[in-house]
Amino acid sequence: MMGNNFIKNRQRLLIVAFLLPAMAWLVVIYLGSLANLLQNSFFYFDEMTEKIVRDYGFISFAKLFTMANLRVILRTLTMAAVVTVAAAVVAFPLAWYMARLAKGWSKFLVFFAVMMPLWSSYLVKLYVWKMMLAKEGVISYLAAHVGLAGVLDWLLTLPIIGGNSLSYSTLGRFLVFLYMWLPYMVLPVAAALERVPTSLLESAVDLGASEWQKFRTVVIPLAMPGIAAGSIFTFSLTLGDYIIPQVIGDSSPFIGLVIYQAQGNGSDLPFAAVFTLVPIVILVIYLMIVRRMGAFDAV
Amino acid sequence: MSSNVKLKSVTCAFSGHGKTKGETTLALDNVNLEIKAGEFFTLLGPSGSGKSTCLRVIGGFISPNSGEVSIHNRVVTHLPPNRREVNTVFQDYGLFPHFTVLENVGYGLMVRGVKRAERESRGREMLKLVRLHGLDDRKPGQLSGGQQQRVALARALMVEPKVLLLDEPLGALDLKLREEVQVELKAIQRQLGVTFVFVTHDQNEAMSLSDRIGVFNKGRIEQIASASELYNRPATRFVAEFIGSVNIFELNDGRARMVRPELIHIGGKKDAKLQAMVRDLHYFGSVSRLLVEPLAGELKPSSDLVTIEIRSSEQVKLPAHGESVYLHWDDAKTHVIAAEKGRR
Repeated sequence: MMGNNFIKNRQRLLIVAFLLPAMAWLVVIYLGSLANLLQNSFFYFDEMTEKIVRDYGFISFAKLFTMANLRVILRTLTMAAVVTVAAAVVAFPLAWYMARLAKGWSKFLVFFAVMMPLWSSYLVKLYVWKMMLAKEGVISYLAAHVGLAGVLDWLLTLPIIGGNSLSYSTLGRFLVFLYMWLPYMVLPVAAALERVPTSLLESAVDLGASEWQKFRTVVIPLAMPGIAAGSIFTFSLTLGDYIIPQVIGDSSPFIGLVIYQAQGNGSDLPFAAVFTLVPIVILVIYLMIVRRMGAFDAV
Repeated sequence: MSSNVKLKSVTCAFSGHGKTKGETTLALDNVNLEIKAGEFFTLLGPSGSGKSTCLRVIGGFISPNSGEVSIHNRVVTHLPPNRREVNTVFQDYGLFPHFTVLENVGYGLMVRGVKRAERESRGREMLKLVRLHGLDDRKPGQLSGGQQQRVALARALMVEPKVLLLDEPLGALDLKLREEVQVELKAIQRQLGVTFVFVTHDQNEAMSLSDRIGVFNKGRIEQIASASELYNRPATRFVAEFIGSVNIFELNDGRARMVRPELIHIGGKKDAKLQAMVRDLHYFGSVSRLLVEPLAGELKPSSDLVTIEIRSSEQVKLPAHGESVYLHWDDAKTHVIAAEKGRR
């Protein structure tokens, strides 16, 4: 008995020893700074003295509810949602091909092609896109050559998504976001589709389902955990990004940009803290929704 | 009786992958088969013999390279599964994990546009038939293997197929449950009068359930017959050896005499067919099985040991290990297998 306990205690000690660095990181650095952030959000920035007043209150929270700031939140949220839906739609056929059709070499090549962009720098990809989307860029060049220049011009005249050129439009911003986060959607969806037993697909057809019925009633529901998992990436990455909106599109700011500017020049740190809480709250709500969809059951 | 499923010289070739690239294997080699309406027909054979491929050809999951498949006098060779009046119960059941038991059972009606209320009431009826009630709202993951098997059966029967294909449906169940489900399966088949095409590698299962059995070997059907016909008059050595245990003695003209273990008895030296030494003795309760090594005699057994089965009810004194015995049987009761090509 005693020996047994000794071994158990030793095992427990070993587990603690291995977990300690990760736990220390999580608790001290991550949760600690979050607590600090939360504390800061109750302070406010006195514009007369240009100093942070360390009195607890909701003065900084009140600043959130201006028309301009609510618009920033709505703009970011809409983009995150649209990018997520588009990524799911674009990723699905690719993931299906990777998971169920490609074999051997072709499978390796597609996986490679999907993963490879992740190995190059985010900034490099961003500025390449900036050039591609420019008025003299390769996209308008190609559009002109295949006779789609009119379509492109028409798209750019549309309100909200349009602009001077693709690189100065919300449409361009959307395209870059979509490109940047697409692999994060493709991979979990492919993993989910790979796990679907063939007999389920055969059963559906065997019982009389058409291809479309099979897709709607069996494939999509079973791919849902993968889509939900992928959407966590596409949604949160869009929500937190502050570089793409700076480089691409009109100058309308996203949440990240507002935070960046608030802590940069004016040093209204309490307001930056408040604004940082916005995506955190949105993400917590989002994670609760996707948890119900089974995103964490099968990543 | 009318014929229900008909396979006319069906051949199915698979090309190899990776190391076996360039090679083709014949999963089905000129298979001819006629299954009667209302029959319990079993495709029996070792793994890789083509029995499952045959079932998938009937179900519409594999298109044969040549030949013709017809169901109810309609040629369906290249029609997809959803346009055939057959349904399959898969080996792993293929239940939809995101649907409840009742939704699974009603799936076939759902895709046909039947209203929910009717789907559910008919689903409950069907679940009663397979003796599974009170589990309507469970998900398949919450059921035992035996229960899942019943749901799969109910789901396939819901769309009233003319032919039900069962791909080793009892393979995942333990022995006791297996025997229980066998009895029920047979009862359901008799009650509904649906043609069952059943795939198994278990000869006991095949013999106890089937009206007729098609024995597969290397993509060919060796014999189609009733269980007793297969047992007593196998057409080939393969069938003789695959069904039950058997002793085969080579005859001089290339034919072979098959003597089932229960036909052999131990007696005196006079008129004995064979003298042998007892090598092993297994007691099974109702029978004892003796493995004996032939010592002298004109007969050439095809294996080193001859198997003898003695019923316990005969109450004879069993010989001891190492004892020399004389074997007797009545040649008139044994079966002679015709000479086969490729053999001496």
